[in-house]
Amino acid sequence: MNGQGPGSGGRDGGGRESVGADELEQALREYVEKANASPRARKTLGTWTCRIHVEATDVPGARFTHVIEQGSSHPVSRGLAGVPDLIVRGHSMDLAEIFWGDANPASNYMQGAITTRGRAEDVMRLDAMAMFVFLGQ
Amino acid sequence: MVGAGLAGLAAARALTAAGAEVLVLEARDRVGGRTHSVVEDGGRLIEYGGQWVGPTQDRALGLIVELGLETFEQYADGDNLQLSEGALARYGGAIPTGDALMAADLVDAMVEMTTHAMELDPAAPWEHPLAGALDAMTLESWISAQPYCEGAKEWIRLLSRSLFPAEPGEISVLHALFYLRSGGGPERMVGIVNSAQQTRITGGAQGIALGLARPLGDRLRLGCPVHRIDQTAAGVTVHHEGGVVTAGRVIVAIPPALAGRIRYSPALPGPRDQLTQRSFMGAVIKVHAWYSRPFWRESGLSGHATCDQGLVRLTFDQTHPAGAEGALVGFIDGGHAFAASKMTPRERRAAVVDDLASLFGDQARHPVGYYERSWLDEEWSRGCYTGMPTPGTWTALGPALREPAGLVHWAGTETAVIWNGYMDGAIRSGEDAAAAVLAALRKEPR
Repeated sequence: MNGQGPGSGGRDGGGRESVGADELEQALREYVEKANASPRARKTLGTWTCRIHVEATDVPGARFTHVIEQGSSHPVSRGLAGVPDLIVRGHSMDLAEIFWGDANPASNYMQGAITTRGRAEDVMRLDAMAMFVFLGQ
Repeated sequence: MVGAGLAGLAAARALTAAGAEVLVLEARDRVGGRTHSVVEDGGRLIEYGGQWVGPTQDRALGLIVELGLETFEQYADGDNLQLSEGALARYGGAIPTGDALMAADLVDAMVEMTTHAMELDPAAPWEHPLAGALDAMTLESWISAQPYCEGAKEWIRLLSRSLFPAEPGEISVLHALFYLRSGGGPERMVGIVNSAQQTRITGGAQGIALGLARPLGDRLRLGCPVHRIDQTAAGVTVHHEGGVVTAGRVIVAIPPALAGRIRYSPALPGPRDQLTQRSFMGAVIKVHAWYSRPFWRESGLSGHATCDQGLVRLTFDQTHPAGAEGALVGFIDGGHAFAASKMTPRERRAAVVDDLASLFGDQARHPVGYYERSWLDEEWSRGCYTGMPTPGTWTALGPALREPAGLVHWAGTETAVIWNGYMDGAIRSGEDAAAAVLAALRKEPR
């Protein structure tokens, strides 16, 4: 963990700690900033354009739209806007740990915990972005 | 039907369901082809051949459900291991992350390969605008030309050996991309969770073939290698070691390399025969080390490891949930399989145990059981997991892969569009060939 607490998230029905929608949005914004600052991500994802919907399965209202255009991320917006190319769903804590760069997005656990629906090439690029942030590259 | 592997049996099932009269001829004294599940030494289930299924392998998963077979998830808890340049490192997931630069290079490579693979039509890779150039370049040439660090290049070579399994200098970039496209991209093929190594069949993977074969009764003949197929306007005559069979059509559901060893009259069209000459089987020796318990789990290890030295470069936890004993499965792939074939069984076992000890420690030096299968020596497969074309073959002869030769149709995982090389692909190819036969029969005058 990077020291950030769960904020107003509380616990989900299974007793697992949740991350509140505001904090998750902040984590996603920081993640996007890190991705935009990553030379590796910019190089590898240079021409990628993709509209992504991100949903936390345990926190009502924790839904976000992340638009990437020519490899560069726009500021994240609240709610699900437009027709997505990718849909990412997961527990708020798992999503936050990836956005904070604390968890390996390619780990066996995360591969099972986070579901991503879309074309394989878009999934691969999104995973690459998360890996570059995790690796600090 | 020639061949009672998954392709031949799936084709037989589809044809029988459509009301066709079917006879299956199998060279071996068993069904299942490149799946072979054996209970050894009173209770150890050894998967000598194909053993995993995973997401999007819908035909295999569907048959497992239809046949009432039980499954369990491949053990994936704990850390994976990477032994690179003598240093052992733990990591989670499909990509080693111990060296951030190397990991970033691997992510780059995965994106690059996925991007280009998804541009291909898996039904006709030879139609890609750059097919000629991609088919003329070996995967090794591509790897060598990349700006990646040496560790990343070596890991991509390991990927080639474990996926195809062939040395990267033996296959073209076009074939590598086709294969990745066919499996839905490297993320679907490498690793365990949400990947092709996710699920195992409790009673053994051969259970699919056995379940398909049972309803055939005496329409299945074992120990009947086919050595000649004659065609006339009236039909086909199939000569096997047990006699002669006449039929309206025949589906040859064996790898192209073996199909080319059958004598055909009239002779196969030139492009088809040339294709069989340019198809070779992957080289793999599958080894199992059995232990009194899965001791690596006590150290937080998943049993999945990759390494750049020795014979065994890839391992997984092979422990069966029904037993207390632990097991590791290892793969000796590509050129390492040729090297291992020159050893005596005793030398090979010692080398394998050394390799496992370098990954999992001294406890790995004392297996209570050891089992291996060299698929190079299997007369009726001559290699595993799959056959593949030499560089240049896709573009020169690709259409001949599935095109029937008169009344002779082709099946086998090598002909599959989706999950080529996998059990799922074998099933799909059999069902596709059966559909083609039924369509052809419907067009024939009665």
